[in-house]
Amino acid sequence: MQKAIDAALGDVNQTLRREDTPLTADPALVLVGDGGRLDSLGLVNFIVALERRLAEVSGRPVSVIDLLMSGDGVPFDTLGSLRDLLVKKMES
Amino acid sequence: MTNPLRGVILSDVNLQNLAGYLENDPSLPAVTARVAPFGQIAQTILGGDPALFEGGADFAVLWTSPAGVIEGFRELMEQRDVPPERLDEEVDAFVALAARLLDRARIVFLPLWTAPAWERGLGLLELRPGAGTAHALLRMNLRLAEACAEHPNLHVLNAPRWAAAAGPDAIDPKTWYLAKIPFAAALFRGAAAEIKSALRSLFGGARKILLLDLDNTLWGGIVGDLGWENLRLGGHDPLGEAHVEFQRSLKALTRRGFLLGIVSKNEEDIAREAIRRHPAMVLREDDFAGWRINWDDKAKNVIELMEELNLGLQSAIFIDDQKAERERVRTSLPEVLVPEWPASPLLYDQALRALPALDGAAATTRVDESRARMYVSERRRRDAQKTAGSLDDWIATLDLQVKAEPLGPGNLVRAAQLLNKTNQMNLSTRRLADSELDAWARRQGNAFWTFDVTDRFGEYGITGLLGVSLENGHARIVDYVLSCRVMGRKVEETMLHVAVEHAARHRAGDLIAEYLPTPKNRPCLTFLQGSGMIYDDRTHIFRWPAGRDYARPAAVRLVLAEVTS
Repeated sequence: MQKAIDAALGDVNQTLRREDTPLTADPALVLVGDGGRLDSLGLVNFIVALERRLAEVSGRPVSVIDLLMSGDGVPFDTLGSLRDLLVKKMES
Repeated sequence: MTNPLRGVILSDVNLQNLAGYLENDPSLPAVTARVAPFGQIAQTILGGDPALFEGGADFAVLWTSPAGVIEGFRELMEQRDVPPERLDEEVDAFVALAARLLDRARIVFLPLWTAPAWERGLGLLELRPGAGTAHALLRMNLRLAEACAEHPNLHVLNAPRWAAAAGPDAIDPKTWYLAKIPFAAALFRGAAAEIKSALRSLFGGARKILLLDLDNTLWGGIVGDLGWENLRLGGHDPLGEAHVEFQRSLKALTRRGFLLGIVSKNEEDIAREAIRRHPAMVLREDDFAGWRINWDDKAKNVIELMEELNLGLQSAIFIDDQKAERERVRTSLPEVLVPEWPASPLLYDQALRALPALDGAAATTRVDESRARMYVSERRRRDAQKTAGSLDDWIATLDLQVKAEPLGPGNLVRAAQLLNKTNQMNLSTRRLADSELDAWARRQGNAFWTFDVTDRFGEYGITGLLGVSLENGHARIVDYVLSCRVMGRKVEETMLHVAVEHAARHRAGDLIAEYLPTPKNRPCLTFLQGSGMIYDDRTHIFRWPAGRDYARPAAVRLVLAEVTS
């Protein structure tokens, strides 16, 4: 899981603009909401990259994008809470 | 450090990510990119937000979806009848709009239109004229390429290749629905790499020479052990065939103006005998601009060879089958591009032809095409120099002819190339697109010449530029540019002679030249300081009284030509 997250962060860092600070794999990193590091485009880039990286690591398709489309807002705010959510999802 | 090139991206879809990939791509030149609001193409080109182009744009990328800008194509996708001629008209109108963008950006890139690999369309009818979208897309792309060819600064990019390289998921419906991003990361990365490569070709920085190892690179086996007769090269042998094919591709590169050199640990006599005598060798000695075949450190040999050829290390690509040699050159000479190289010779040709760094070797002028030949002539000149006495004696034997020709349609493209690529002997390092240079030269009081140099060994082609502006009783040299290939052969003095004659003919009081220093143009200062012109080191201005003759070097025959079309 961590390998996929690291790789996805690397992917999304490549799309950041010159003035942006690269994202790091800190569980406390706020992704969305107040003080969040990702705007809507950044969030899409990150989730799509994570979905691809998780599939590479696990060898099976993993849908992460539905986390964005549940209709109740984004169900995570930090990198750590996203990780926990994904662990649960993959175990179920 | 040179300022980053400034780009603007326009599209009918969300291309914010392309801006990120362009800015983060570590290869030179560095760029900054602004993105116009998507779906606002015509508005942006015809007026739009002036902040987007504030400070000028070096390039623009106009990357569109076919259905987004060609109404007929959208209708065709909906299975309506659309005559092919209507698509042509719409493509022409789109190119006319793109050409307007050249008022705001020096160069415009237009990636070809692409379709998803998973799109099956009408199956068997996909390529039937008037029916399938695949046929329409091919027709529109061809029309786009041909219409853009009429504008020297509109460049079409091969986006379908990026899509093919990115694989079946290059076009991603998920990102499309979530953020109106049509393409996956892999395709954007390919696009950014190709745009950077194109910028190197157009703004300078393109690689010019491949430095090649011999044993197990140009041929199979070690010539010193096996003898040239037993090398694996040609014949009914997969490895031998692969080496020949690799050599054929290298030979083709020389026809596009790329140079070849050899850096090999070998006995020179033995290696050269193999090059001369092996019947399957495609490359012969005359295909190489120079070589270092000895047992010295390869990094040292690369430095020496590049100095001999008067090329910067940043012009070189080093190819060697030995990982250790690649690492040695890569770490000690970071300016040299050292691509990873496949272990199997069966993959050499593919690796070579996939190198983005070779994009810059697309010949666009006669000089490009003959560049490789010129360097071979130069190697012969160096041999002649070894037998001559002083430098002046040697120059006198060269039978140098310098043809000065006013700027015109026949020399504009090469002049703009030279102006934009030359760093060392360059007074002001002014960079202009073809159209800008043409406009400047036509302005009242301005004059611009190209200098075409030949000697008894061959042609150098257009290697010098001189731009002079008459202002306030002075004749001011605005551009004084000379390719390093002919530096130190009295062409510099000949160009000053032409400038002084021009100043005197127009009754200017004096000829002045303001040296604008850059990290690379010190050779220009050094020459001017030794030119006899009066130098004010506070202002960096050189001066010569126009009433006083500036003698043409005796060893040079000067021909003043008319404008050619």
